[in-house]
Amino acid sequence: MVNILEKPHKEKFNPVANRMINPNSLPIGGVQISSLDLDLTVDCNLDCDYCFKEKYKKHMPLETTRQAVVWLIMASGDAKKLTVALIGGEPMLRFKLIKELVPFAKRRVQQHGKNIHFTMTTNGTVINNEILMFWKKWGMGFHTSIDGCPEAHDYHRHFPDGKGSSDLLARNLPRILSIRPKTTARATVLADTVKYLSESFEYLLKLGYRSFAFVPSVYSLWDQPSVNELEGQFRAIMIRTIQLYRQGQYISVKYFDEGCQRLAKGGASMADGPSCGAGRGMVLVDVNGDIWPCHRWNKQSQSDWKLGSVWENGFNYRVRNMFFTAIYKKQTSPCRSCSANFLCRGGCPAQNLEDTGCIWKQHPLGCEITKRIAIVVREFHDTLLTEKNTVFMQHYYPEPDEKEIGKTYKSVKMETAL
Amino acid sequence: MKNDLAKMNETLRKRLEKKLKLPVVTIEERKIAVLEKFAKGVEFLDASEAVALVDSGFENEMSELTLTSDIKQRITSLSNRTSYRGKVRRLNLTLYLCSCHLSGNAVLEAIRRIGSAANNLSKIQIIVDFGPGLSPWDKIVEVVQVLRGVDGPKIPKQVIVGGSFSCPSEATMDFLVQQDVILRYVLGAALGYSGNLGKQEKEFLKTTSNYGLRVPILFYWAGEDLLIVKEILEEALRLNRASGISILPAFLSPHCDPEDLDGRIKADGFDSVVSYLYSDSSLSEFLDEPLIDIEERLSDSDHVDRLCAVIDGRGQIRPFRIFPFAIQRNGDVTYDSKKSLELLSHPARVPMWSRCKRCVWKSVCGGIDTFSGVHGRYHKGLFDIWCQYRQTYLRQILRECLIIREHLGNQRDSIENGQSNG
Repeated sequence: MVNILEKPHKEKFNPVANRMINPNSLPIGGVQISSLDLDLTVDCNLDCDYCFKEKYKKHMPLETTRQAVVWLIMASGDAKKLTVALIGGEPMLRFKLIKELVPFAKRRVQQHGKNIHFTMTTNGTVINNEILMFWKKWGMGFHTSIDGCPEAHDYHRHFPDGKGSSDLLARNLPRILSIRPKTTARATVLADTVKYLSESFEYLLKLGYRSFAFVPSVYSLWDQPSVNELEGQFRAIMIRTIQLYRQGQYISVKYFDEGCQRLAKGGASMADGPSCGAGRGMVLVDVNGDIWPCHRWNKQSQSDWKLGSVWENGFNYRVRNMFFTAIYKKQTSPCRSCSANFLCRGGCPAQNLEDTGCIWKQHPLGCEITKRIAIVVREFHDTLLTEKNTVFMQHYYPEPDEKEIGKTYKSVKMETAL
Repeated sequence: MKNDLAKMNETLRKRLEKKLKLPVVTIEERKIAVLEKFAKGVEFLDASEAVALVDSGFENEMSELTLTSDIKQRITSLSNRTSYRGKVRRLNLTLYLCSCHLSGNAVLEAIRRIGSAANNLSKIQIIVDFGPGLSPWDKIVEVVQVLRGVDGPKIPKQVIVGGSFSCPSEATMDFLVQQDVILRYVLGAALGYSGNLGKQEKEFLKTTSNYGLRVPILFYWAGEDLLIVKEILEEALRLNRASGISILPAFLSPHCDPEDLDGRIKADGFDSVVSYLYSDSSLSEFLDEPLIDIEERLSDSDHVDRLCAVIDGRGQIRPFRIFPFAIQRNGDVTYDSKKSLELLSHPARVPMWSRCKRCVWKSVCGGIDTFSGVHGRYHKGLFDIWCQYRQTYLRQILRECLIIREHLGNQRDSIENGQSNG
């Protein structure tokens, strides 16, 4: 792809050449951008071997973070709720910067009649009381990257010297969960660690987590036996979750939660497009101030996918439009009649690009994995709906109307069967 | 005896009315009628009425109005009005407080009085405009506390504090953010403010914007060279982190003497300055005025009246000007001027002035401001200058709309091209 990032007005006489924000870098049209990923640093204290980031020691300057927030305010148009996800590398390595950025953004956004919520993905190893108090004060949300039990976690997530990080994380977790009990345990599931999945679930439950995201990744490394293993492990998680629901406890497990929500609303959601909003309602600003579709897209080799920069003129509409086109392609593809349609939204565009060279075409094993998970999710939904589990009904069918539930679900079943 | 005289006068009046086929009113009645007209904010005076008023010394009476029951009554009268041509109307009050010579207590008293009279208003915007060189942060905090406190008017209110300040403390900045106070940094050499960005100005903008405060610049232009203006704006934009810039002719400042004819004449080149600045798409995005002004009006429904008043340095309250421009939110501006005018049409009143009836801008202009009584107040000779200025301004608005439309059009084209290629 040819880089068409335009730099208009460069030669033209410009009375504000040194201005801080450039309105020509703002997108016009499409959905409003209300969510921003900020690469505070590319550096990390861990050396996880599946990390998609190109590691080099570079930090985002404070000026760029402020600029990015002002850019988001302008790019968000009429949207009132803004979200900034602090990512990295390990964002907590930049706590000093975060202490400046978060109050600045909250104050500035408030004056525009908007709200801003900060969230971050952290490996949980760089935590102290000051950080925890700051999180609490400013109401920040976060995911902790934890792959599960020590065997699974240390398999890939280790320090540069090879030492596993699970011990340190386990020591910090009680403090993290006491500040924010709804913190999500975000686990990357690979073919070689899938066997620990249900064990990891139990481990995380014991640690006190109540929100889980087990995300299969790097599909090219999977094979049929490991996919079968994954289905079995998810089924075990399902049985344990149903058990907890029956005991009156609510826990949120990604896929189960999303699937039930969509089934409760009537099923298929392909028309909504990719769930992450990459390139459409969400973008990444990297350490240099460059704008990318999402945090998976800031590699030098992918420069064709650059959307723009908060410091420069021009916005690459061609790239952005590809994400809108992806929705169209999905709507007209065989995905439309897929049995996993209610759960799947086409997969991660960045992952798709790596696997198949196309953002809307998923790896065949990715499809297979999603279909298997969808079977389990549907079973989970049907079981709890049939027995009218109180916790389940409160969360997914808040105003239970027997006739309506039956009708909606029937129509989904029929549509799926067709 | 008195009753007999009254009967005679009444008989005489009836005869005259029958003969002239026009209502006949005494000077006193006329004054009352005019007051009512101001209060109702409906049809305006015709030219002869305005001249008659000026001749009768009405202007002096107007200028002598202080914060007494008169103004209170008029505000109450306006705010009590609930219907206009069958539609429910609301009333928004914009109150400028030129407190450069006022004590803190006087400001508070003024706000209290206006506030208590304005209980039925739907929205109140209070602009506290501190004079050059003043940084009375304690007073500002005090004023805002009164406005936001239990004694303040219980209606939605926006507080804008304008001036050329020194750096506030962190606690003060935090207070301003918490209380949703908008700061507006004023520049303008002609009014005694700084005409340029000196060390103090830069320090203020840098500190406040780094803290997270949004500090738009309000630049009162008084004939400065275009290059100087550009230089100032460039620097200000960088420092205030794209908080926005407004540029207005100096005579529109509440500190400016409304009778200063020279000031208006000096503003002749203003439209060319604004025109130039707006013609650069990269800069025009930051210029609040006059487009933000329009936006603010658009955010109100059609059924809103605006009341504008200023409390001057002597504690007197006088009507103040506003720009009742509006364009339809969903409309688009075309190069066809007639259509453009229609799209820019103002939903409110068209003045009954004969000269306005002939004016091409009559549907846009809105005529005399609801409460300002500009035409009724100023000398006849000022009408021409006012109209001339307003027409220039309206032409500028149209031009800006066209520029923006063109700019957006180009962007949309590129989107469409991208889609087809993608």
